[in-house]
Amino acid sequence: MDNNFDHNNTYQQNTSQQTTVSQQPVVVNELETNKDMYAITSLILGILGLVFSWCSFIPLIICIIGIVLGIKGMVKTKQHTGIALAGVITSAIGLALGSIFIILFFLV
Amino acid sequence: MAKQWTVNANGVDHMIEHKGNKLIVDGQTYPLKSSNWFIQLIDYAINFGDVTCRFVVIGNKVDLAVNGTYVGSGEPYVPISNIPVAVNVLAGISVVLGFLMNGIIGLAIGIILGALYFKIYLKNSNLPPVIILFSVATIGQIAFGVLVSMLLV
Repeated sequence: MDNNFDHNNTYQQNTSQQTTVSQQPVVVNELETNKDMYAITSLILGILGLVFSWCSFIPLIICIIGIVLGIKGMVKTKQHTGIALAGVITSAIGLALGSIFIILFFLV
Repeated sequence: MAKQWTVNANGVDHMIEHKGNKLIVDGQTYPLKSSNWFIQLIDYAINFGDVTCRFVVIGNKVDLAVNGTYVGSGEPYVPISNIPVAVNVLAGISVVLGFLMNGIIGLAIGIILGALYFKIYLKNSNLPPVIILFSVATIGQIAFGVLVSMLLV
């Protein structure tokens, strides 16, 4: 009986402690800082570099940045497929095409 | 521009304030971080016990959703995390293309367009309207760039 009394007393103490709940607001960022942004930016620069590969030197610079960001994206996410790879490929193709156009421009 | 809201939760008034890239909740400052490099895309959950608030920024549009409904527009809250990568890519292309074609003005137009893509997707949960708008916008940006360069020459 003494044990029950002790148990009840302890239980009542616990509930009174539990009623004082903290009113601090909880603020959470629901969109984690997107590690994919390197991959997405690489793909964007690759597409634009590819489309405008016929225009002077600027697309070449864009493609180089695209390749660097794509590789960085693959390293960060430790994935070698997906958007980052697509970005690297399109940037590389844009870089190749741009280089060919510049060489042809100087030859002609 | 600073924005302020007062939310009543369990009989207690809580102050939420947006100033620049900071969120101030009951005097406590939280730095805001956009998940997109090209357009401001922010979604912060603020929980006051039973009341759930969502502080959302899409482009230059700032609003607070309380228990699933936006205070400013009255529209239902739709999670931004569900937006597919394709919308991010299209928005980024519009921003960069705008800058390449028309400089700062093109960049500003690109940012507005990008924010519009997100808003349209959140409204319809459908990609085709975004793709159609992107196509029209891209033609417009290129045409504008060509026109400006012709006028300058």
